[in-house]
Amino acid sequence: MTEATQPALPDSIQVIERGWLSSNNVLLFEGESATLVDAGYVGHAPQTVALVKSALATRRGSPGLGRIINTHSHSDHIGGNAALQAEFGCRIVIPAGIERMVAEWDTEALLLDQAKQQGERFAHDAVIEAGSEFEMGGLVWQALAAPGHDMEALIYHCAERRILISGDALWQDGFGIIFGEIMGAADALPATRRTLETIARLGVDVVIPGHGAAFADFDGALARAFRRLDSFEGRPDARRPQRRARLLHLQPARPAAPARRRASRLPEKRALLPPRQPAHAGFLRRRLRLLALGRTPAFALDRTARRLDLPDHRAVAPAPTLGVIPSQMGIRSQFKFAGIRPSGRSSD
Amino acid sequence: VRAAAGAGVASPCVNICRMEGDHCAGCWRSLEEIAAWSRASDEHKRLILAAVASRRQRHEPPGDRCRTGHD
Repeated sequence: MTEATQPALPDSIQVIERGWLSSNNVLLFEGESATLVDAGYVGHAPQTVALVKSALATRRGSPGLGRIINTHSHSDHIGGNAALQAEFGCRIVIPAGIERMVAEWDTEALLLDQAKQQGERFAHDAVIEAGSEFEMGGLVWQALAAPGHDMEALIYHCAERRILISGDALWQDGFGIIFGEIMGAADALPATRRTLETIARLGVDVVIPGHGAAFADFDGALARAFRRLDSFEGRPDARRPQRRARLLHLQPARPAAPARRRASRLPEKRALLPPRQPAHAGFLRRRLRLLALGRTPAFALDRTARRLDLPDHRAVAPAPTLGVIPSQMGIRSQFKFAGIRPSGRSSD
Repeated sequence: VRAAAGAGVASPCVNICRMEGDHCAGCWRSLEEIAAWSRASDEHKRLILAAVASRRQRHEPPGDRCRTGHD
């Protein structure tokens, strides 16, 4: 029995818990070799290499690193691939869905449009298909498709020991930002729901998330994730990708007149306004503009979105705290935000 | 009552994650302390935090904080 506050993991699994910028690094020991699931952020790669080296050296038999397996393509999960491969000569195994992006190093599709990250290109050695089974840490794992945060993401489930390596598809409190939804892809939210439903049907005692500590409260985490998804689906703009894209300045704004005409309805709507939505939308719009300019790496979107998703939204909701420039939020925008609310439920 | 897993003692990580000598320039933990964190008991974590605090004081006299952890 391990510590009361720690969920029990087999001895063959070591989670190296990293900060929010890097994904966790999960080491699975299998005799003379080890597998690492996810490699951390590129800027942290030297420390990731040092941590893995240290963990391998302190393990009985001093195993080598045989493989890296990624859950998805984002820079905080693949950023250390190249450095780890250079150090350990390990194989790199990626989800089949990102094979083309990696092979062609499509930095736009990989959300890697930053010069520093482009330098960390790697070549993969193999792919994992959704539905396939493989061994890690002396256990059998099944790869499952987990579209949502990343449409090509995989999660890894060990039925025998009821362990789920969930990447950014499920965290203790939520899941990774749904990029597709922000970009206006109509299928992103339905896919996220199917993924959560798939996860909910699995037998799981311990979740090893891509960020944060491993946790045993699987049911609670699922309930929180579904609640969050409910509120995303309740946004009027979630069902109107074009309008949403316009809101996020990905398309030119329409003239403000029609919105002004409808502004007479504003007072009633304002009374229903949940506190976090205006800041959320304004923040994402600003961040996306920076992303388009190449100034904001994907992980920063992720990280700040996580801040917004803290249980007490009021603590982080005021726009100035998040750097939303008031002058950017014209009367039309404010009206639009006022109309955004979770359908038929209050935000808790 | 079971506490939320791993939530007993917060990690000192501040996302700098760069080793300077034997310790991380951000959180002042050693490689072993970072790697062991996820399996450490709350008591062990508090010991690590105490060690971190004393290292920080030794290396970063008050008023000198802004010079470390950035490049």
